[in-house]
Amino acid sequence: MFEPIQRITGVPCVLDHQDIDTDRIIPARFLTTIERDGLGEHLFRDWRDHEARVASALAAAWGVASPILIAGANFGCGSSREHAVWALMEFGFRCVIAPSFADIFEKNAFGNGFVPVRIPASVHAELMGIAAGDSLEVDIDAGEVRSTSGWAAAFELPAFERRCLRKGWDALDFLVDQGPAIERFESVRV
Amino acid sequence: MPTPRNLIEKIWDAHVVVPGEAGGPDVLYVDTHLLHEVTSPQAFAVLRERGLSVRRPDQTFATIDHAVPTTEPLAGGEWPGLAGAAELQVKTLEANCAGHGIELCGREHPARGIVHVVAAELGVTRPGSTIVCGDSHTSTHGAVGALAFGIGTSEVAHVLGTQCLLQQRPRTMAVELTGTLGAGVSAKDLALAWIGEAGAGGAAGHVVEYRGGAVRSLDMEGRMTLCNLSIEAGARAGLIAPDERTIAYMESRPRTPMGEAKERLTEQWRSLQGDEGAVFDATLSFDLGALAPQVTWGTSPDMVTGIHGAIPGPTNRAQESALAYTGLEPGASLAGQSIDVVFIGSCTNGRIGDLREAARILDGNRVADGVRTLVVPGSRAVQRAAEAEGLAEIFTRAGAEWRAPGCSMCIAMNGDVVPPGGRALSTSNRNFEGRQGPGSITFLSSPSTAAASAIRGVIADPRLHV
Repeated sequence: MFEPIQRITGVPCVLDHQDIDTDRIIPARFLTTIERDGLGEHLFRDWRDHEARVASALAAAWGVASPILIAGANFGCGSSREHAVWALMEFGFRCVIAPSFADIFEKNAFGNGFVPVRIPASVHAELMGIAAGDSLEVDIDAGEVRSTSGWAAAFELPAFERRCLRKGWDALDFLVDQGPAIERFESVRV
Repeated sequence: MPTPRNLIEKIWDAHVVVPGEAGGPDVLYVDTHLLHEVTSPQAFAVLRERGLSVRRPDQTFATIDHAVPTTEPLAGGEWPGLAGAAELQVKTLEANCAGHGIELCGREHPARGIVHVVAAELGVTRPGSTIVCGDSHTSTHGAVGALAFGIGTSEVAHVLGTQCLLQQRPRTMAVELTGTLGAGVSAKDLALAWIGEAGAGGAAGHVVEYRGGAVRSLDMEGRMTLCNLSIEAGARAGLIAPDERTIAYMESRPRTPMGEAKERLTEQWRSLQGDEGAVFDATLSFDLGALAPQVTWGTSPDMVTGIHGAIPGPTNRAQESALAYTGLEPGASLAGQSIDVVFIGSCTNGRIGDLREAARILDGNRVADGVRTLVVPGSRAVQRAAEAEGLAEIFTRAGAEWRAPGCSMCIAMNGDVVPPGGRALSTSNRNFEGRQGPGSITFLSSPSTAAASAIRGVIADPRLHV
């Protein structure tokens, strides 16, 4: 369970870079933990240490408590570590807007009530043009991203996942309710 | 006439417990759940919070591999080098397995090693089954014709509690690889070449079935290397339909039953084929021709070229940033680039065939001065075999370090790290920024290329040795 989500508003943080892998999001040496907490401070740790533009983008995001990250295609590729989502959320992000997401990352995100907002590459290019300083609103119900300057674009969310986000449901409750069907399946399988 | 289905669809359909409504996710049954110490503790915590027990401990198999030292535990279980947070993770998994009746291939277990090496070796992995693990390289098990994929920790909790996952039906992709692999060129080169063609997100949303002559010619370990790297092209999983090589491999696994039960199983495994006329959502074909050894030059596995190929000029920000990070010059050849570390091991290339490949080249040679060379077997069985065959002696005589099994320098969580600014040639699966330690630079290659390069201290063509 998590807090139901309807809309996310704020000045976005932009990391215009494709194939941002989960090692980059949270380096492996921080995974020796049995908790979900404590990862936010290590978000993009090594990347911000050696690329000044990344450090300044994240410092600015921290300053304005930005809940929106904009990134390039195939965001969250590589390792399955859900720690990447936990780190992004603890840092303060509530969604990532990108042209595409790696499959495991996308599932991990939905499972935590963190929204992977998938927009076409052409819309992404437009968004990059207007992003500086402008505030954005990600509207889950309407499936729309809007800027305070009047720019707007639609995005698709799968129906099931949208319902889960709006209700704050996670899949475990749903699966536990399938107990009888699982039992039937197990009784007939070879 | 029913619609012909490909193998991926057949395995999927056979595991659907409750079909999704209106294009929503299916409830998918998991035959085998693999666990390791790093991505499981928070999942067991969820079970405790919800008051759930483990539904099928008998279908769950745990190992410790990611954060453990590549030293030997002492008799009695104490383990030099295992300390702090990593030790707590290991102890947490030990307690969770004991508490829930889950088999743990633990610190003193004679089969201990990397989850994907051990599960295949023992025959925990079976054709036609669904296999998941909180690890993106779970696709390794696709080599025997299983549908095997990585999941996050929340989903680990789902499987522990219900033996099921909510999963969107995947799109399917046929990847047809033709051409022959010459001496000194292996499955790793084949895999890197197709990832380079497809791109790091090229197979996203898809499960891949590998087909074609180049795939059929691979032995089971080579097939594991190919399937292992499916995620590096973004695929949800990758598999290969069983053939007689698969059956022979499975027949010799310790956990494959004997007698009539085996007969029944092998018959079932042989039948795991796509229907005539089955279609895929996408098809990619590559004729590899005379494939050269492949080496990566950037910070994503798809930034790859033949060993004598030139490092390309950047065409996007990721490539620009990769070249800035690695400090490599566009136009320069990969061959001849200096290296500081060589790592031979991992779930990609830590099996006995990989070590034989490296030993053949290192035999009678010495690694170059100043090049730290680490050879890490994927499991105790690989370790024992390498010692019995004299490979371990070849490695140590050559000046390499012969270690105990684990993920080691592939993920660099256990103290086996490449120093900042150090350049490693590695048989592992990821050259991401800092993957092998903060500031580390990684070139990925086959075990042969790694061995040939260790000798020279620069990236070198293994075909000079064959």
